[in-house]
Amino acid sequence: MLRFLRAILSAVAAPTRTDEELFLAYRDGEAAAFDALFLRYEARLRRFVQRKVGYVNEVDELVQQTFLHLHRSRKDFRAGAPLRPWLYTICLNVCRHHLRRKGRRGWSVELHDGVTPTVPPHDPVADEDAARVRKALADLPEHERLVIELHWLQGLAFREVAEVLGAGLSAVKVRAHRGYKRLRASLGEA
Amino acid sequence: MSEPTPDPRLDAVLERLADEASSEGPDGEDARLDALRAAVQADTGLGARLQSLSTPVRVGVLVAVVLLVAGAVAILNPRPDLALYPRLRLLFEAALPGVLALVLGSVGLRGAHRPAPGRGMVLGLVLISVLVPVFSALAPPADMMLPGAKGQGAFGKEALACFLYGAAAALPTGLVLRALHRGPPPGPARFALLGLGGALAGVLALQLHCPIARPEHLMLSHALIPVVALVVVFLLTRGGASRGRTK
Repeated sequence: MLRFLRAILSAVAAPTRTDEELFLAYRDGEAAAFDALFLRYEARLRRFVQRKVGYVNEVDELVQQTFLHLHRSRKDFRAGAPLRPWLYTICLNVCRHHLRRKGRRGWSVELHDGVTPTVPPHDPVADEDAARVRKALADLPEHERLVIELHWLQGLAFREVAEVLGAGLSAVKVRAHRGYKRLRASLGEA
Repeated sequence: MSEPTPDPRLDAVLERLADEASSEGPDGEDARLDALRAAVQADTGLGARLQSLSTPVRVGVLVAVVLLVAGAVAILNPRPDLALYPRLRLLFEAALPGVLALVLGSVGLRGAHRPAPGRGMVLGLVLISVLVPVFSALAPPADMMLPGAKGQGAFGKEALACFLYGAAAALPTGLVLRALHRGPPPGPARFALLGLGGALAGVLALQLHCPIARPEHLMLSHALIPVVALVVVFLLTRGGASRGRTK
């Protein structure tokens, strides 16, 4: 508990430290910096993994594996490289391996224990729009869905998305354009 | 390609979904952080140490193992015509599989923070790895008068012995590659690259050890090693996937 509080204090005390600074500090032996990174990204990665694998009871393990592989990769990290593409690439590889092992294709609108991510209630029209977009998102081809998820929902720049997917920047923008058009069409059908 | 024309209604929905994505996770964050700390602290075995090496160091270890295998064969158990065999031909037949083994191993050893190698790249590397020993086997023999070039005449036994020798020489490199692989257990594509990397190290060792130049022998022993490695990889990854599904 004490260590946890120390990690929070460390994260709060240094709000301006970037992801990269934290990871470089961890690489150089500051264990609390890794805790701060975990606290910064765990919730986002949970949602990402939930949407990718669909089963809530598998999320904890996959997020933990993501951070464990990040820990093992620390000696490859160089100053000047962005950390977020690393983190999401590892997470995506972990999810893909998990789905392959389970023989599933993944990506779902609803979570398989019946839980849907909750946010404060909105008006019914917005709820309906959100449901339509979720459904349309789940129906998108994988390569377009990932771009939408990473750029619009996880906040990665297109350049970072390209790095995660191992694709060219222009290819990523084309996928984004097509995916966005399909999502817009799903709202147009209302 | 410019960014798509914004649609305020869709943007509002995406913003809402993004808020969901960044909303706080369920309670128990401290327990999950403790679990991660425990996992990190327990990550100290030999496998974890090897995987935690930086990629250049892991590739360096691979180079050292391939050189060690090749050196051991060339010094302890070389082909009788090693000094007489045409240098350029030996370079093609031995160095090419060696270099290919390193290329495949390096691609297979990419960290989990790198995207998986593309399908085209994997297919290309697999094809080259299978075809190089085949070309080498079907090319006209350099010189059938060199010592041992015709073999002893016991065709099946000789081929089997050579195959086993190559497979045994492939094993250390294959095992080291698997031990050095970082990230989730390799999928079929990455596993194929690692398996073929080991197999080609075996081909390299065979080229330095076996003087027989008959194409049928080379096809049935040397060139068969990468093919068998691919079959083994296929069976292992298929078996792993079936086990995962039944859990």
